Amino acid sequence: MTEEKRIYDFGNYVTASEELAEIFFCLKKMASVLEFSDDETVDALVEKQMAVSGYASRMKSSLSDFLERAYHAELDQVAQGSFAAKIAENLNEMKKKTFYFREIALQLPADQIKANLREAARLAGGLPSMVAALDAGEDEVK
Amino acid sequence: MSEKPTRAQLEANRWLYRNQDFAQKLAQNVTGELTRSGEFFSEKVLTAALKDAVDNLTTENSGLSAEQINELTSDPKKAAAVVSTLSGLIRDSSPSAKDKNGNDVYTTQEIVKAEQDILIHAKAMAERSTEGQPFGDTESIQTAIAEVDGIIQEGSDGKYVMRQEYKELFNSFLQPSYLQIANGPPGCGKSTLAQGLIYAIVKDATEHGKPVPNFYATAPSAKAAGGIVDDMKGVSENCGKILEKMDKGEELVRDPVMSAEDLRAFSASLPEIKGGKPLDQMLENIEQMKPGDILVLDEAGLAGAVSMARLLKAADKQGIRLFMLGDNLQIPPSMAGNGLDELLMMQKELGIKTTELEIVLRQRDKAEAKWTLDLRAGDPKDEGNPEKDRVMKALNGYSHRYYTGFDKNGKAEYKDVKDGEEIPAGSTPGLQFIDDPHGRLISDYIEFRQKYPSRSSVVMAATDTEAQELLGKLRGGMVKAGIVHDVQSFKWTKEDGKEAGIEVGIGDTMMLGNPSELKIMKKNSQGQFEAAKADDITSGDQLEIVGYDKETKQFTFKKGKNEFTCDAKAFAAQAKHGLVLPLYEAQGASRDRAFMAVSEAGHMDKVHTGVAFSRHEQQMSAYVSKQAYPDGVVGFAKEVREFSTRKQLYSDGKKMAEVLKDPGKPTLQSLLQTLEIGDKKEKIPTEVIKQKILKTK
Repeated sequence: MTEEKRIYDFGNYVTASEELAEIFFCLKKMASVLEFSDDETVDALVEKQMAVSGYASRMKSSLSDFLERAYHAELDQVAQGSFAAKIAENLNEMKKKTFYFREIALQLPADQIKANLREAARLAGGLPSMVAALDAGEDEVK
Repeated sequence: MSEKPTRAQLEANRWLYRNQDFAQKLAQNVTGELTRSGEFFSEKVLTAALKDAVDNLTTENSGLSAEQINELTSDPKKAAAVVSTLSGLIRDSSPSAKDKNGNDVYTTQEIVKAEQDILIHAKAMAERSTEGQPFGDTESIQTAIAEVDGIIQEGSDGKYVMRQEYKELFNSFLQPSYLQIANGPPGCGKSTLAQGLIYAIVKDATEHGKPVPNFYATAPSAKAAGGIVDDMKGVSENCGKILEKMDKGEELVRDPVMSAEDLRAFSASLPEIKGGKPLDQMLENIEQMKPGDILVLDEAGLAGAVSMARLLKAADKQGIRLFMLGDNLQIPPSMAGNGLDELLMMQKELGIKTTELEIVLRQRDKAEAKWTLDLRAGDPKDEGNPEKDRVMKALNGYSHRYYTGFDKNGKAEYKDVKDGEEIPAGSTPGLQFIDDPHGRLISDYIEFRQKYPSRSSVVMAATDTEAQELLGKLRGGMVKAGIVHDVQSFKWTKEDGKEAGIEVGIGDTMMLGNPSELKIMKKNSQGQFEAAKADDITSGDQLEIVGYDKETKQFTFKKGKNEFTCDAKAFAAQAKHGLVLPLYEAQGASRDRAFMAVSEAGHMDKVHTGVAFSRHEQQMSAYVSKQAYPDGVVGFAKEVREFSTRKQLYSDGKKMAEVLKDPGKPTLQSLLQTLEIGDKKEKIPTEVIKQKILKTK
């Protein structure tokens, strides 16, 4: 019996990797929390910032799983300049911008949280093409 | 016999034992992040997130001292062991379920508690007797609503008619109950149900000598909260219009249901609609509501589990009658959990009364109304099945429909062009795949504004970033074409000393950051200006600048048909350009024509498309990048059939049901206290003991 491989289709990107599909899934879902309106309260913005920080960790974990399965490589040991390293760098930057203990984040001015979310949106914007390149094997991971 | 812990493990255990508050705070924040980005997490994801958190700890983002952070992070081996041990302890203390592959996944007590509260309080409310509270004679309500509200307008003869199926929905929604839910697609008449509710309850109260309850309205977002209050106020405004006609002896469209005298008495009994604040703010003051008060929650599908639980708990405790309006297939909550989905999924078990609205009233054309339902019903498994694939039918319908303008009665004119047929000159298709979507949209929009200045419209983009980009280009085009003119530049210094400024011209569409801080005047029916009420303008409202008085230095601007004035400088200082809306902000808008741009980034799915293709009443114009969808409708339809902005929640709902059966687990605190820390039981530092005593006191 042949095992049927599931193809994940995200419109612009198609992948057979469950781990990379999870990253695309996170990016799609994250898009809705990266959006905010002018009148949003600090409470609501903090909720979004926490969600983005959670997505960054979820995506990093999926990237790590992918590297382990496809290349038997650890995330910390991938070659500098590789797509895998760039994705990890991007996610680290996203985490750095959005990770706060909730009680501390609630003290931040709304403008700063909005700036953090905008920066996260900018970083997220660069990810799909990098993930697609990694999936296409255009990388020397190790 | 258990294995002896390694030195690194012992050190990690000792650190965790000594720093229990720190460890718990770390656990709480990390699991909080993970449940805000999905209801469940695996142990692997948890460990990765804990590691990320430890790697990024600073005094600024945690409030911890440099010494505390350094003690944990200075030795990478110890830090790794702490992460691994803490991850295991969180796992052992967290509610769990199985994922689709049979692996264990975890969530937090906070979410489980919220989901449990939703079920408990919804059931209690559904079971509560309304003590002979039929809301009145529904037949007369239907007639009256049809009479007073132009929304239920059908056909080109201008007659107010209520469809039979809508009458049935009214009957269902107005059944006596403490908890009612109306679920349905955009433009199906949910706001009209809320108006019917006011009419029914007030009529029942006035006819039977009962006190008229207080009416409150809210929604998870500020914009939607303001919107539902405006809609509900429509009952009073429409009564006023009918009375005016009656007093002038003008012809009414049909026989009035009440005499002028009764209508006047009824109108005088109509209560003020309170609220208008976002749900979370409303919940802060909910104790002011009294038993029997009515609370309408609009856009209920946007409420996360925690907010929904707080609402239901308060409503149940205080005897508030709750009416929810929503769409579980539109944009989901950004917070964890989805209360509306959960209630709909469990409606039979809970005995909740729900009304499924499967008709569309907003799109005047019957085919377009059906396409709205088709896009909502899209299912990936129907791909390639021409009989069942409703998404393809809808998208093909729009891509073959060419609009040519509006007839003398104001109705959109179009031709459905079959393959090989000639496309009408100067027409615009409902959906087109092109190289330069922004360029085409801009030229069509400018032409539309010049040709039909009194027609309403909304311009949308798939994302916030794209909306900003399109706004800049579109406004530039409007200034060049003279639609925006007499542009003035406003400059000021911000509190932080930085310079700021904005250009505002007549014809611009603006949004205000905090309108309650401004002195805004509203033109009344006698043509005089009086102070606007707090909820007349909210921060999400689109305001069109229509004039500038050089003497008083005031802007005149419009929101819908209402006219306002405000000091131009004060207005500009908190205004932003708001002509182009990202899709999440466009939810709730209803206009004659909708313009929608999708760039090469794509980013459409079932939820986004559902919002985009349901804002128009008469004409849809979607400009989609050919680069994003090289095979046109086929590729676009593939995305439109899928939920990509969220996973379908039914599977998560099932998982949650399993979690609810899960027996209680030990707390993280109790597990931290049982950690193996070596032969000598380490003393808890005096400082920790001191803090514990203080907490107890």
